[in-house]
Amino acid sequence: MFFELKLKRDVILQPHELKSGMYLTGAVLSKLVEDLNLLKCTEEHGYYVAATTLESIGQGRIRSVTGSVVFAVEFNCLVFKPYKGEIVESVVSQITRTGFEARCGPFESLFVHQKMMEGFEFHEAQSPAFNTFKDSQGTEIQKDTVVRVKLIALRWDDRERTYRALATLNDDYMGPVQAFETGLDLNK
Amino acid sequence: MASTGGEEEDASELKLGEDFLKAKCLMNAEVALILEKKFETLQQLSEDASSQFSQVFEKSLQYVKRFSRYQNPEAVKQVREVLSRNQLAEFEVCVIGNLCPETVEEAKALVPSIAKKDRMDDEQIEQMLADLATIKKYE
Repeated sequence: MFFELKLKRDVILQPHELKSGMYLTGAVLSKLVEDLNLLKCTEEHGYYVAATTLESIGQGRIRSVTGSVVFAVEFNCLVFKPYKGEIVESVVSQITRTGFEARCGPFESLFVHQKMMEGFEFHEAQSPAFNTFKDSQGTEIQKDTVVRVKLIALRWDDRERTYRALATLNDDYMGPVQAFETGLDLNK
Repeated sequence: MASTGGEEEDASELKLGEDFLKAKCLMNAEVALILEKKFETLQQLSEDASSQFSQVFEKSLQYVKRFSRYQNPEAVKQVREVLSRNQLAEFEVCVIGNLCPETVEEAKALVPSIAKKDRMDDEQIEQMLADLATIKKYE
């Protein structure tokens, strides 16, 4: 789910990055955006999508040894954080014998095990890109199919700086989303 | 780190963690409006704007554009009004706004918390879904 959070962060400018007046605000903001982009995601807040509004920039504090200046910045930030128990619409990215992987916006490590999709059977194609899961009614899951899934377990991967989730289709109203009337353009 | 007092976060019980209790939750359609505006502004400011957008930004924009049930900003506002009228939690509002359940049964399956503790009866849920369908129709 997407949230708008009020966050506080220390932004550090090196002496050569310092500017005066309004330009200083600009320098602090672009450094903040740069920092958030590098950070990508944390376990605490999820994926940092975009800083939206600036609340305040504190007085700069000079560090004695390096001469760099630290600014405490308060701002609002758009984040995406997945939750256990959450139901999302995801896009299938890869299909293997054991199950399929799907992505949901910035969150790209959703896995649905073949045991978590009752009624579906694996069909191997000549090229792995065309592997599918099919059920007896002819419903098909292939690459790029939109699937509504429920996240059942969530894990933070510190090395890759990302969340990983196990999801299931074995619940009411889960599964491939047919082109339904609600205005989703599934071919985009 | 993110858990509050060892309690596990769980969306179906609205346990979202300390920092997120007061946070504003956003529907895909609302996120799309914000990100598209930001994308346009930054593109006007500089020529090689594409380098300023992170992967997270680009993937989010791509996702919310595809998964927005409402495109018109006025409709998005109305959807939020309808949902807020029913004293739903922010998170519940957004799940319904994102997934657009069509029946009462589906709504209760997607947001189990709305039917708990007699918060909403079937009639109220039905009325809410009908209101949302109307907005969609006239968007």
